[in-house]
Amino acid sequence: MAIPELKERWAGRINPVTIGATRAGGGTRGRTITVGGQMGIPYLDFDGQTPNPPVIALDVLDQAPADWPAPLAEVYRDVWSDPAAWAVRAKQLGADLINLRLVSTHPDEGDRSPAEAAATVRAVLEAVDLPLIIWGCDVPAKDQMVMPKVAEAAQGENCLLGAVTEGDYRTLAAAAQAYGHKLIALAPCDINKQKQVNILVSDTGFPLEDVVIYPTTAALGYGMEYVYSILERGRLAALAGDRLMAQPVILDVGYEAWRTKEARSGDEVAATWGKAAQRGPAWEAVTAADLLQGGADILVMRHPAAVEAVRKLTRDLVGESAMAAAG
Amino acid sequence: MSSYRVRFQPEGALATVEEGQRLLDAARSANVYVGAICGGDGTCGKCRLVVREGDVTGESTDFLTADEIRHGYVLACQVTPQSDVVVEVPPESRLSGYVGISEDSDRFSDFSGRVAEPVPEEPDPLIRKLYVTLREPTLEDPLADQERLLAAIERERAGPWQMGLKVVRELPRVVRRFEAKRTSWNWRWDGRVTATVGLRKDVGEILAVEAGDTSGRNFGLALDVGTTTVVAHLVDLNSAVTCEAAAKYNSQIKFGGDVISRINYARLTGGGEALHRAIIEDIDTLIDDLVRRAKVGRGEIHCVVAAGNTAMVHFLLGLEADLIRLAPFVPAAAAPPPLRAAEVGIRIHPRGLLYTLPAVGSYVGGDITAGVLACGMHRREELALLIDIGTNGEVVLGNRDFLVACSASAGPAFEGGAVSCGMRAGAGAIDHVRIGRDTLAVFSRTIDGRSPVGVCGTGLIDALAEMSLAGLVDRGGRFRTERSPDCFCRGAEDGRPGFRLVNSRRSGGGRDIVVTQCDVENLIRTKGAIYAAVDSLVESLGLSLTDIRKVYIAGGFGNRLDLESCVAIGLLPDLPVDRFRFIGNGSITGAKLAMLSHRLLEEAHLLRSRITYQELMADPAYMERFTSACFLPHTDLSRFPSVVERFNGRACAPVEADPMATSTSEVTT
Repeated sequence: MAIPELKERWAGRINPVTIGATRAGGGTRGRTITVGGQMGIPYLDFDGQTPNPPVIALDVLDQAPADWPAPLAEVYRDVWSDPAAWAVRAKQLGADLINLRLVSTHPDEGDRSPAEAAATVRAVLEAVDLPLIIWGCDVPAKDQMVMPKVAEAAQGENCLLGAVTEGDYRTLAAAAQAYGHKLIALAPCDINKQKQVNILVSDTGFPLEDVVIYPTTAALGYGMEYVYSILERGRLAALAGDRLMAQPVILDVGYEAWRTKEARSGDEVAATWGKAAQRGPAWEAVTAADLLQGGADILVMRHPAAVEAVRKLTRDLVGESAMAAAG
Repeated sequence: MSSYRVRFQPEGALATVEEGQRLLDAARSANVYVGAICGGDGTCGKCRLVVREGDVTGESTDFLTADEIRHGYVLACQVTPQSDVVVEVPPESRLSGYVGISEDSDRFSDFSGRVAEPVPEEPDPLIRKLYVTLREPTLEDPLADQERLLAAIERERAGPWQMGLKVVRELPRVVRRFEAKRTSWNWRWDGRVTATVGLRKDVGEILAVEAGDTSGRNFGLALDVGTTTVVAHLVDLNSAVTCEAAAKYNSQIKFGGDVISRINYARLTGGGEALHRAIIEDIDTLIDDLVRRAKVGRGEIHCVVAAGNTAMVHFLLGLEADLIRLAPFVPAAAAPPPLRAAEVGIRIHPRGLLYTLPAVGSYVGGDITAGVLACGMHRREELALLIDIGTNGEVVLGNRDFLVACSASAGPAFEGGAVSCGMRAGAGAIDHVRIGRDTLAVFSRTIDGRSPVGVCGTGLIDALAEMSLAGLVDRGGRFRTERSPDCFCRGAEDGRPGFRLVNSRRSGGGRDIVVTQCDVENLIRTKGAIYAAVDSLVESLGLSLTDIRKVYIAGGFGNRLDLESCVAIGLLPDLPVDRFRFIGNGSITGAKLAMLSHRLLEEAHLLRSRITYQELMADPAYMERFTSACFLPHTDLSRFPSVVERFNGRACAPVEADPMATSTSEVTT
């Protein structure tokens, strides 16, 4: 008896999105990073290829973080007052991209000017040749002033700028388009809202092929399953042919994992919790590993041990050769 | 404890309140309407008053701008007088009282010609006047007066019959002339009598007897007890002709804008009674006006047929309404029997009857049974959809084989009170808006051609549709001020920009007539809820929207709606125009039909068991459908091909990619 053909054939495909520009592309990056392009459910290679394995961006803040727990401080304390030095450290630790957060532009956190923010971006671009993801401070009125300047400062570098939302998208979309960047579209855990944001962005004339979507993130034990199911549903919709959901996904794993009580507590808690030095990275790694299966393309992370664990998992999932080919 | 006098300008109404009582309490006791949509919880910010003299205390800053506070604005539900005070009710808090009825009633009724009002095929009104001539009793034929009348009536119509003591008491003097002389008296037989008979369930009742032939004067009152508007039609039961129509805002609005806040109010001591009295007084006002205009005596009205949602009927009858709000949502009565109208306080003929159209459940009321009756979808084979666009958006889908209904808590976004420059469809209400695709020039028209003072539901829908097609809002409903800053004014109600329909120089009230961002958000939620309800109902039966052959649109302002605008904002599904039918006020039409045909009243009672109620909240996909529908016209454009064509036809280019230009205009918001 012939074995029946059980392959799923999908009509849709995730958009490949390239971040960063080398000299040939008008930028100064050492290499570009391409995500997306999948033609099937994550890591089921017999259904459809995963041409671009997931990538990891490491967090760099534009000012010393006030509340990072010891396991992170040990890795970054010596460089975290200088974003350029921090970015170099991130590259040494194996980051594919730098995830730069302009937190100091927040009106309550220093209220740095758009010009200062632009200077920070230029410094980081000079310090490392990795592609950049750049976020504002999450205060729409301020971001609307800062991000156009930042976009201008990084002109030609093909950065990924975050994030447009249902309520505030016009300025950032216009800035990204004017200066040749990619965009992150944020809609918290809601596929319909995500589509709406994508429509709004595309109605401004910004191509949907240059968008990465961000459904927000939740850590293990803190509602991760909601994000997982949204990831899964979004990916299935995209593969079924829904162009509005065909964007690669970015997830902010490090920030969420390191907010948890489990990751933040030191060794003073019950011994059965294990050592803090392992617990935090493990929390981050497990969160990342789970969400990877749902269809994450860019993982924003923090701890090198977690990064290493996720790298190993990725190699297992896509195979050494695919990793080598991609990277 | 001291008490203070509160005078309300401009009417000058006076109230006395105890220390600690709020201005809102004063307004209520003086019967002054201030728009407390939330019922006085301090959450809606609509009960704005301006303190002109005297002192008040309390916090009401959340909803007021610094400028307004300087000018003495307060929220009536948040402040208490500290002395005698004079306050002004600003126009935005006011709902004009009982004015312009004859103009309004036209719009609330179906005289426009766009809706042909159905008439029962075999008229058989609930109240009939039978004129009979009774033979004079003799020694050979000594039948008593009562039995003689009953026998005569039974020849006209089968019994059983009953008759109250009061009627029997009157009878001997009705069939005879009593002639008193100085020393003797004489009973002279006449025998000509008109008996007013009514049906209570299967039993006939002789409600009244009159001497002579008055059978030509037989009137009934059809009532639509709406959450926002109460409509009354006076009907000649002999000819089935509507003599006069009248409408007014439901005065219960002062206790809360929606059903739930009113039920909450009813739970307070005396609250239920206040709600009951408010609606009875409204009905009294309407009857007063009707009988005056139609030159009919109150006593010539022998029946009232009322249709309303379940809560409104509960307030009307003075029933316990709290259970409607609580799981498992069981009302006190779904199909109350015919009652003596006087028993609930409605002043018509003292023995006149009050019929209420039966409800399916707590959230599908007699207004819906009335609507189904009015459109007749339950008798035809074709699949039809009935959408009642009111404060609650009810939807019925089905045909002669099945009927499924659901209720979308749409909210009062279409109706005067909850819209910033909103008003009901009365004098000076903008009901038609067009915006030039290139010039972005705004053209608006009022119902009666007078200077505009506000915008009614149809005008609001038109405005949003036109703004969307002209690219002045994005598909999420956000104003695109950068596209034409001149079209918008800064700092409407909540500090966000407002879209100017009419400049203050041209408006009747001397202020800009604007559509605020908040109005648009509410409208989008409302239309989203209604569309999602339709979508859920259709999908739950495994059907698709295109299977629907007829869409009946009911609602007070139904017959003035612009279909294309409704489709453009995604309120109605994108179906060929010839599938839509306006049935006007389905509630009043259904009430009239039931009043004119006993068989149709029975049909309404049968409908109650035939309509299956579907609880949308039990449908896990409803929220998703709702979110998808909260977009212009919908997240999934393939559902609205005609709107896509109109979008493509519009002349405006996509927004320019100039980050500096856009950022400057958005930062200041």
